[in-house]
Amino acid sequence: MFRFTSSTGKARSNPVYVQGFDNKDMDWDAETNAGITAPGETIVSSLEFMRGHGTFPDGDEVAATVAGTLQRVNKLISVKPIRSRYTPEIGDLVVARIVEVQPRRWKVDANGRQDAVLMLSSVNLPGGIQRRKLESDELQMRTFFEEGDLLVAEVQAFFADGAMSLHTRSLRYGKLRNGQMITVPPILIKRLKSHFCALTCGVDVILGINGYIWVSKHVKENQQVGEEGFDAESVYSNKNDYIDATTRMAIVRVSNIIKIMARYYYPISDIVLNQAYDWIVENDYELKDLLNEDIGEALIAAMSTTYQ
Amino acid sequence: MATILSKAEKSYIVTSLTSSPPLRQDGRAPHDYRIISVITGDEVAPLANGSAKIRVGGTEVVSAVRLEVEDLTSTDAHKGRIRCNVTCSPAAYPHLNGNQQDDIQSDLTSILQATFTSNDGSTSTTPTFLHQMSETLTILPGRKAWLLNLDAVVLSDGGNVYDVLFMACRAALWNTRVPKTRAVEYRDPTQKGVAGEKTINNDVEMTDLWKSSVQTKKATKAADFELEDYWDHGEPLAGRARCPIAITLNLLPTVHILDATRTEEQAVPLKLVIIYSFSQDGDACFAGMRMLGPGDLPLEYLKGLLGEGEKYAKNLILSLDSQLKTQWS
Repeated sequence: MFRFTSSTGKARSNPVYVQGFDNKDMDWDAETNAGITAPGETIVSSLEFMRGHGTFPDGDEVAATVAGTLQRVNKLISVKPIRSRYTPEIGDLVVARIVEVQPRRWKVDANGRQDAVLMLSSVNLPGGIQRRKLESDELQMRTFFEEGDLLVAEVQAFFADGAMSLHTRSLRYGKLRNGQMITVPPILIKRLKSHFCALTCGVDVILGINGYIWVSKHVKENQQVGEEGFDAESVYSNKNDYIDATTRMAIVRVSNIIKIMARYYYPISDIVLNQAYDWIVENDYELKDLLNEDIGEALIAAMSTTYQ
Repeated sequence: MATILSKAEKSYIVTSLTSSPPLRQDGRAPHDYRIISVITGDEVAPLANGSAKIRVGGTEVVSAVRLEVEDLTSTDAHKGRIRCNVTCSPAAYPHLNGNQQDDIQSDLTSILQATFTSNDGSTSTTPTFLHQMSETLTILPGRKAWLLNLDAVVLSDGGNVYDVLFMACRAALWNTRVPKTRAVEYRDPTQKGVAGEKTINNDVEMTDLWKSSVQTKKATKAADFELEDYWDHGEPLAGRARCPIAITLNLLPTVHILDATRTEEQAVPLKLVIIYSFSQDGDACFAGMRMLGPGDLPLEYLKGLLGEGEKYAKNLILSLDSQLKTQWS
């Protein structure tokens, strides 16, 4: 019932994610530096390269201002910090939470530096998508989304102050139910072809690029709420479906895997999650075991040796 | 973070807990604690007389004991006192404004102070924690005593802050060493000593004196004290085993869970904090109770919960003490 440790609760060894970076024309060596810049560390000559975000000129050199991974686009060198808020880009899929309901818009927390905005005009309304917005819609905004609601959306545009504007005008976007949310550092989410992942264990995972991950019961393709006969009742419903015990356990298992990966800074994708899930099933670990630091470490070790 | 849960999330948590077998968001059984990390002594606060840092999941509390010499006036009787103070780091509750944080701080301080100083009017036959402890804290009976400052800082709150706070305080008190003191008397060098021996110094150690003089004189004669040895070589607090411990039960109509996370606390807001203290032989003594959050509780149900709580508290104290003993070599 009670288990103790004398460690501080942080990961004991901390293998940090190295984003595949190798560049021969630069003097900076990803191998010796574990792929991570230190603040103040010189990276390249400023005569050959241009400075991007996360760098500053240090005489004839370009030095990093943050601890992070190097990124290069042609001659532009930038450092992406390991630990930071989510920097939005248009088209990103994000999981977000409603913070406030305002006139004709919702304020949304999407792990960015500022709250995101979801306009009433960028959501699907009941009664077909091409419907005009009525005054009555403005008055019943809370029937669509209210404070605390989770939603999956796409970054649509930016405002002048840099805040992102979201939209949910797709079948796959909208309110989330039947599951639980886990937060990880945004840098760990790889950009994938699709961020809606159906894992083999019968669990759906939405990997928001902002570091919010939604783990939920699998919904079959043909049972998704359709565009035709758009049903506000089910799209904006707060009621969960019936979820059996096996699915609930699978959801917990996936959530715990994600938490372990976040602790060890291991990049997260659907493939990795499937592999980790299989590893756990193979080794016959109980749900509770996953909270154990040793097993977490073993999982990461197995992931980085066997599956790469 | 100041997240409000959506209705779907809340109902998901509650349904999982009430289904059979009950399941929590991280796979724990309802009565399991998260892994408890304990650090005591110099690693936490080297300048304190005793200190401890407890981390349970996302909740982290540092507690430290500082002893201070206090002149006793006649109204204080012959006792050392204990003074509790809890501070919350602003990072623990970033969504709250200054006043709300102060409220939480004074809430936690008051429950701690009330529990640790509940000495008067005790109906129990065994001496209370404070009673036992104040014997160690006495320097010169009726004149001087140690004032025990028990300070706790809530560094972060990931749920279940009451249990962690009491655990940290218990660990810090366990870790405390009270410096040994020796009473000292001033005498006129021209006069002869009580025992008839000629004094060379102004100070005469009371211990020598007692051998030949009457015991009752010691309180009146002793004027001051000195430390016998180094600051950190002291004796442990008497009765530290009786230091109370809190158990928080988050209540649903049919089940209760222990050590709720912040999200679980939001979905299951009704909680019952029960505080127990245990004697050396393991006899439980009920030290306090608070019910927090909305809702009510049938009386019959409560009786069962108190018994359950006693069981949990006993287990927690046993495992915490064995952990503390291994750390304190």
